[in-house]
Amino acid sequence: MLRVGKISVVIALIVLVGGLCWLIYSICLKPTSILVVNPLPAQEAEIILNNDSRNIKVTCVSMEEAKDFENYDAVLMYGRGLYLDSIQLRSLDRAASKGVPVFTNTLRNFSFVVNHNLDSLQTEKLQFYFSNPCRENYRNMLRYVRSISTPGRFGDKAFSDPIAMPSNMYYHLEAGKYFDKAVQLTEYLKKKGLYSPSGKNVAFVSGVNFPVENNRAHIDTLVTRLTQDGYNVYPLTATGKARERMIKDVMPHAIIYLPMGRLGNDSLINWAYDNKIPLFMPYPLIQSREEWLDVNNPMGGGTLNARIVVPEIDGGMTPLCISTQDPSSEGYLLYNPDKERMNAFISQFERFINLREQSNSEKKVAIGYFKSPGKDALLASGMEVVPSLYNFLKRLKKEGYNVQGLPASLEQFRHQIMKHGSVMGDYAPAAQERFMDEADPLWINKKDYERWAKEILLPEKYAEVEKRYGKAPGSLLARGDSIAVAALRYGNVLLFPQPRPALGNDDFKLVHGVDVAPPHSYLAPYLYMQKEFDADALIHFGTHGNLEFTPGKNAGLSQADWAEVLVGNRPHFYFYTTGNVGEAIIAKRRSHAVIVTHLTPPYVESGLRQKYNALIENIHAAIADPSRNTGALKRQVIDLGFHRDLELDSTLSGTYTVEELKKIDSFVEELANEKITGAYYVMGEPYSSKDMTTSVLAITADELAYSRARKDYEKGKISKESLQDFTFISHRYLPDAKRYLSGILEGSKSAAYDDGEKALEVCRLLKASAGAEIDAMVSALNGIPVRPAPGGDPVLNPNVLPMGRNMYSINAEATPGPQAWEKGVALAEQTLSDYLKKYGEYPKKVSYTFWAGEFISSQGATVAQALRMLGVEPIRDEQGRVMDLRLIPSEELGRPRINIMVQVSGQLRDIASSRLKMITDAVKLASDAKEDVYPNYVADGSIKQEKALMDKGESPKRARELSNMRVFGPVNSGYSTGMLRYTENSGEWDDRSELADGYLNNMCAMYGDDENWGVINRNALESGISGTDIIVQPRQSNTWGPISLDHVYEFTGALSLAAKSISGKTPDAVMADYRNSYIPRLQDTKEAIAVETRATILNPDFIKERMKGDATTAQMFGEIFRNIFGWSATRPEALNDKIYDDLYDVYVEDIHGLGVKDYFERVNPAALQEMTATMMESARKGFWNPTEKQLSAIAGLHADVTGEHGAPCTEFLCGNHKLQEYISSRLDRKNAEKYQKEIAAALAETSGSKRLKAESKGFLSDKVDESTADYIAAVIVGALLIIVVLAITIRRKERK
Amino acid sequence: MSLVQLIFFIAIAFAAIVRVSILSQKAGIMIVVCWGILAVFLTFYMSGLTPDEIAGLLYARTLVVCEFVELLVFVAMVFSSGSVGRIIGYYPGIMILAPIALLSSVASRSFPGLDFTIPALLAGISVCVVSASLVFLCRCLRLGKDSLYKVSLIGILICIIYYGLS
Repeated sequence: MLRVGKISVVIALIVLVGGLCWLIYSICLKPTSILVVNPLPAQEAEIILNNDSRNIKVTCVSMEEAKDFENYDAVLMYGRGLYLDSIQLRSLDRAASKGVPVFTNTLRNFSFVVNHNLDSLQTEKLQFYFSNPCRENYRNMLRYVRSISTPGRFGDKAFSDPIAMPSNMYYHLEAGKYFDKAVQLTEYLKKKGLYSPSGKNVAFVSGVNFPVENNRAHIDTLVTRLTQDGYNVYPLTATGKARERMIKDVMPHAIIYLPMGRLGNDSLINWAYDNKIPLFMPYPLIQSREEWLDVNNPMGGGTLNARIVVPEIDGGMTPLCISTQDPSSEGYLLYNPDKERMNAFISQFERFINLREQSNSEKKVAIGYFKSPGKDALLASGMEVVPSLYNFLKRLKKEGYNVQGLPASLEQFRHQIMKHGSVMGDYAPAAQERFMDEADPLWINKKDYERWAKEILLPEKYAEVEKRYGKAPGSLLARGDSIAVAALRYGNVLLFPQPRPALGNDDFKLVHGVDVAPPHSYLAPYLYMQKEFDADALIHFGTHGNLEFTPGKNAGLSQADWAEVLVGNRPHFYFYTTGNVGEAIIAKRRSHAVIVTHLTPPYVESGLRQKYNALIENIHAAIADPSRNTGALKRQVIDLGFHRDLELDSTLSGTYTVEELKKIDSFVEELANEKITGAYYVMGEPYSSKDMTTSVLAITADELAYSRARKDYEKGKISKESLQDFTFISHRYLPDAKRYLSGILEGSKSAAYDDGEKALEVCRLLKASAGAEIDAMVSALNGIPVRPAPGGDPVLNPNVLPMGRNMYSINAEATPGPQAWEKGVALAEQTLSDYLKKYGEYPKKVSYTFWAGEFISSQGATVAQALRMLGVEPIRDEQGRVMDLRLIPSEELGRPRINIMVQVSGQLRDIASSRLKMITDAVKLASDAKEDVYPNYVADGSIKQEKALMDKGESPKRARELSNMRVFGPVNSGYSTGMLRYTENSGEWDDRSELADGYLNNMCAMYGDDENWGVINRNALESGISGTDIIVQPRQSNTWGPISLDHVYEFTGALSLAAKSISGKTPDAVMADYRNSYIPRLQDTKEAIAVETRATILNPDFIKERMKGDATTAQMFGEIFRNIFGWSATRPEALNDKIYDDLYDVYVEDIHGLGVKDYFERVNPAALQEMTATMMESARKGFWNPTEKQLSAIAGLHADVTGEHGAPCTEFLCGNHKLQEYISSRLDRKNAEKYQKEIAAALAETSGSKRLKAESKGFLSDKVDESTADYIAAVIVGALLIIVVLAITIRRKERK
Repeated sequence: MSLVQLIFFIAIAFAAIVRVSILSQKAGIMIVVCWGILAVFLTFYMSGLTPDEIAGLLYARTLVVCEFVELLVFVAMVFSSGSVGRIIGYYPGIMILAPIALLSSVASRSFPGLDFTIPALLAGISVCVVSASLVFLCRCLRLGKDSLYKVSLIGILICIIYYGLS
């Protein structure tokens, strides 16, 4: 008993001592545990790395991870974006009730501020520590927190008061050294021996709340590298006016800007450009290196906006990622400068700055241009390339550049370009051989080439090239151990065509977005330009080349991206038409190009108002007075063929109804007012006086007409319907407005109104624009920055004038803006009302085509249309950013929710990924809508899509995930639907289903959410397209139309074809026309094609205007023919039945007596060969049923031109044996032999079996034999069998 | 799904039902409830599988071999006595999982747009109700070990035919 008692006492003592020890430890010795909630990774690292006390334990967690606050001794929270849920708040309250100090750091007025157990002095002191981030303050802040939260504990309670950091300061590498004035830093640098008296000053704006003192490896690296290279670097942190003052105090030669957002307000930006100070904008990323390099992790949302989009508005250059955030050995995220990217930036920076120092005679300039293979002209959108290039070279010569050997005449220059600067296709080996023999190409030795490749390319990237194309020199333009590079050298200027980015089947694949390496023949000129020629600057000449469209990341490219590595670390400039901002942005971001805008072709009179004036008057009279609606009027309409365009009856008896007459009236007004462009613009040459007037009118007359109409409406003179009636305004106000403005421009009237002043201003800007692009480029080559400007069609946005500026994009996060939303809503509702009127029911699914240019120009109105269809609307924050979506209640919407499908171009995917995710969120929201009083076709569509996906072999869970996917685009980070290659290689396919198949294979990447970004799923695309009732194609520029731009048939036509092949029904197709910003409206695609066809390609006035142009303008005719062929292949319903007959009359028969053949033979015979070949191919394919006479005439014309000028060697003809045979079969024997001989001379041997069909892809699931129905049937049959067996057994038992 | 496959799954199910029907009532109820619960979980699992994966799982030859072995165990159960018989008598049969999985896959695919919990519960309840009914029916018919023997023999025959055909 006693023994037990002793043991008990001992145990009790041990417990007591242990408890006492624990108590002493807890009260006096235990480290203070401080929880830091919601810090940025950089702040987390700063706090933890500056904690030098073993008695303080810091735990940093994200907002979501924060819990059990009561288990800590102190809680510090960063208020930026902080939100705690009710459970967390309860935990926080428990902590507060236990006496735990809780502090929220708020630099600005954030709504969430929770402070507990701190008096005002303590709060103020903590705020002071946080507001002055530096090593000392972080260290002392932690000790201070220990002293107030656990005052009884021993050790490390001493702390210093916070050091007041200047909020705006200069600093340098040494921690703790801060300066108020630039001169102080200069003195410091001198004292430290870091100042170079002859060095250039660099203002380096490093951050807003920086410098942080431990986690700034990227800043220190930049400062060190630039200092080593002799620059005087002035790192500074400041905002607002102080930043402006401090930058100006430095008197910098260049500004490097690292923070997010804009450098400053317009006064600072203008000051910088006035003083010729370039702005560079490299950036660190708050993501790991692995995430940065992942192609399927595009830069988007806030990061893209803050790091790329906004600095672009200031005209910032070199958008290079120089640093990532990677975990340190302790696990903290620290800035980790990328050595290669840092070198790339320093090199680009220094080369640009050095341009000012170098004499022009020593500067080496490489100029790349775009040309398709064969004898086609050099191509650029809206620009006549050869004369423009010649003008530019002459200007360089005038500026003192060494352009030795530049021919004295344009003709000689053209001849040299066509001979020495050609592009070869692998389908014409004889032409290749001839080129290598006669064109005096640059010969690059294999040894040199491989050495350069090793120095420039990543080993794994070059291995890809060798794996695909074999060892250098490859198969194209190779002889022996050398590669032939097409190039012309004029002194220190190197001209070279961009070669084909891939060969044979790979060519097809690359254009379609499959990530394949370019061949040796593509790499060679770029490697030569970098290593042997050693260009000081690279220029790409005209819209657009192919380099920036090689697949890869959308922004923040690395050495692993072809577009980045082939340009190399040198200034890159790009002449680009102002009309194509969407694709210019891709060049900016993917090849660090500085854009230099040039004018569009002039807007010219179509002459159709005069032509149809009598008809318009007759129609108006007939509408007003039914007795004047006669058969003669109907015959007049039928004679003009309008009934075919408008799908009206063609019987000569009777009359058209008033409704039909109004339709004709609208169509004719549209024709009369169509803004058409004339001959392509030649850089440096102003518009003619007549073109100037018509262009100014095109830009300003609409505004005046609508403002007058509005005034009349306000006075009650016209109704609201009239104000919104395009036909009415066009007829009643526009002609007067044009007359008035013409008078002002001619000087016969004074500019009494603002509108008149505006016309004069536009005229002045247009005049100033001619040549401004060359001036800007010459300045850029002298190291002077190019001023920023918006981009787009000058008619829609005159602010793009003058030219010679660096285009920027818009903030995608703020789209759709309020005005864009209104436009989008109006068009969406019009789409529905038109459909309802036509079919008596709402469409169930509307498919959209979204492009970057239209998205930018319309400020996201295109996206607004899609959202409205779903019955979802955006919610904006105070800054106008779309932060969330709201489901419009069914009653408020007043109609069913309409299902959508969206196909996007690669360009839009790259610049607005967040909007695509937003559309998917909207689909989910609409699909989940409950208690709708009207049908919900979105939900129905999701269920159908889920079922279809299951039927095609997806698991139910995966099918559910994908049931809301509605956004699709090019596969493998590509940019195209692939349809262009199908039309180019029309000999390789026989049935339209092959095109539909190609489209589905090439556009089946989903771009809906992070998890499925870029994931390929053809079944999802098919179910997404299935059941489409209408296809909507936005249009926001007067510089292109459905037949002048190939992308329209490539997207709308191909989608239509795919929809038909899936659902068996050809959907309606309309164009959402934003060109008239006052009345955006819908136009049937057939009508839009008819208007453009009649206003341009069949309009003698237009043809005459274009015939003033040179080879590139002539090439445009061939392109339009090809596009019409593309429509025939994809959506023949969109074309007038007689279109080929009309083309035949105008271009073969030359019924207008324009001298078409002479013109083409003079400037570009290959274009005429293409046009005639296209007509023959249309006949061969059965798209057109010409008479024998027509066929013989076309074949004869084609053979004549070929006989005289040789085979064009273009892929469309020379790669198509069936077409060659077809043409030969329509010629007499002698001519046929001659023709075949010409073709054979180019080809020499067959081009082999170029297989065009997309390879069968692993991602395409095999068909599944078993369906759900089978399973159900099996179960039912099984159950029946069991019942039968049981019944028999029972019966047998009963018998027993 | 071919007719032979269908018959194979019915044979599995029928053999399992007869096997359970000769157990005590409590054990039978417990097993049937277990099947129902399994059906619920299997529905969630099967919803993540593609038809190809389901085919790989359910139409594999190994499944036939396993069922063959199980049926042999049932036959052994009929003829065994003593401790061996007792031990074998505890084996309730697990190949019923295959038809349940098949039913679950059907359930998971039959209600697009609906939360997977509902088809899972439906599958579970269906399995419970149908199998309980069938067990009850068997018990009413007083199917004993001899019936299990016959059913097993038929099942073995089906296994052999199916194996040969697959």
